[in-house]
Amino acid sequence: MAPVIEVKNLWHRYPNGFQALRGINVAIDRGEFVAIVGQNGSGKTTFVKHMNSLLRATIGTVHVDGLDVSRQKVSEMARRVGYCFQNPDNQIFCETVYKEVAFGPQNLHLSQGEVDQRVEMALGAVGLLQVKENSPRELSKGQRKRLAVAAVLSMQPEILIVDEPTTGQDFRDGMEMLSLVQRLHESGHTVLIITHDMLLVARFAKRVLVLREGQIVLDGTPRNVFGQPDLLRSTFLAPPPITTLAQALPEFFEDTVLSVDEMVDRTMAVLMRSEEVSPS
Amino acid sequence: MMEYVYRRSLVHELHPLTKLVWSVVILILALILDSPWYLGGIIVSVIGVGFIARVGKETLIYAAGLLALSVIIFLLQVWFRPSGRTLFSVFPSSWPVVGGWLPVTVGGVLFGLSMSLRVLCIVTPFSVILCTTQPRDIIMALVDKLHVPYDYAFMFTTTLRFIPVITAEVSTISQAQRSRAYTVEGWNPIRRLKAFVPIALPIMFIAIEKAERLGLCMDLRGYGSRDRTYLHSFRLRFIDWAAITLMALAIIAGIIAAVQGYGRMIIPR
Repeated sequence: MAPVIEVKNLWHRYPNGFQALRGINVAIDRGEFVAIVGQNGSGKTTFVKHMNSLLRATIGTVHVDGLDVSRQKVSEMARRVGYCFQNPDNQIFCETVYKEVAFGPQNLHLSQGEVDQRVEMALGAVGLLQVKENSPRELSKGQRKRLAVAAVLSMQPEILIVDEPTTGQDFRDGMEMLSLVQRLHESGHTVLIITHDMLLVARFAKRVLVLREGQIVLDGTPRNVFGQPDLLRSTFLAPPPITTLAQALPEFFEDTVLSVDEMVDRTMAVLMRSEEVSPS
Repeated sequence: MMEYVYRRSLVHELHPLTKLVWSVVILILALILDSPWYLGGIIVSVIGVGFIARVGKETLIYAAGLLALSVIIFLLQVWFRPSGRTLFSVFPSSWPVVGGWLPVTVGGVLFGLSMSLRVLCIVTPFSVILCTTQPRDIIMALVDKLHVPYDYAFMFTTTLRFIPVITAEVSTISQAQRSRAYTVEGWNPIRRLKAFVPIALPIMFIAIEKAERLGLCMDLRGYGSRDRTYLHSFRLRFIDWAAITLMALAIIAGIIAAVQGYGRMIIPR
């Protein structure tokens, strides 16, 4: 099966001369859940902005769904790629939640019936149906963030990109946001998230891209990526504490541990074995 | 754009007051001289100063940004101040009824050139000043040397400081809306105006929020609690006096030239 996103030798240089991307090569398959991590300024946002033509490659090509993105308008790409910006207040302008979500489908010139149906679907998916007649300004930060997701979901894109889904939110809002993204992934969306939250990566992502100075330095499963703490450290990232703890005890934990549950299981296994070896 | 850029240059070293004097000198020269040639010379000198200050690229970008305004001013002058020989008409005279409307005359073109150059002359120095002077130094020059009340000086520089911040926000908002298939289509002015709403409203909310937060931060740092003292107190140095002398000579030369009739618009027959 052809990858849904195919990036070949992508370079991007901003007009001010900043070289943000230096030769990115990556292919992402339909239905993947990819986390993009890296320091601020490593090129994460620049990279994903090439997926819907907000930025054009200086060198290299980006294909989405087999289409050369550089030949497409942003408004055309919006049907295929839903991009949620970090700050929901950058886009909210309507008097009601409903109208905010309807803005995208209306831009696609859909019929009123179709718009209604999509808005209901999108608001249902993010759990904001009961506040659809409220003003977006009355919503909490977490709700506004989910509203921004609904606003792109209503265009029914196949690929969903969420920039920092959990930043600046309390634990509950963050978790709600994540389980939302998880559900959308399970319902068939290809999901890309940009994040600094390694716990989130360990728990949800199936694949991690680590960016450093505009290049992909690591590409693999979370287990694989967190298993290379030295390389990670060069990008000023650290695996989740539980993983670091396990790595500090190599005689007990040979493989990379990603969660508390895994550590409990392995510890129990080790204890059981030692009981068998030296019966009291 | 219009943001302080740290570079080592003679212009960066100058006292902010010297640079403000420069902008006033340019303003006066641009107002007393009419000929596009003279005004063209002035704008070249302003951009030259930009290059000496090593912010030439920024200055040019800024001047290019003003081009749309210049074109409008140019066209208005061309059609509202026709004089001299007619070069051609927008509607050829062979056409029925409308033939000969909107004539483009030599005088109109010259007036247009001179007005649009004048606007460029007056506005561009500010971009050079803002690129080469820290806002707090401008405040200090205004308060310390010109005795402008601190509140006003602060308001002035804060307003200028907001421009790049808001410009950056507008570009993010526009990207966010375009990601939702938002486009501005066609030339219908009412539709274009309406299409501005998805950008204008978020920027309004964000600007108000930022202003509110700025006010709070100022309060928290004791703004207005008592008379201020200043960390830096710049004196006018030799190069400042040299520059001011040079500018004084320029303005005297300009006035003499204007009185003697040089720099006046001459419309060829």
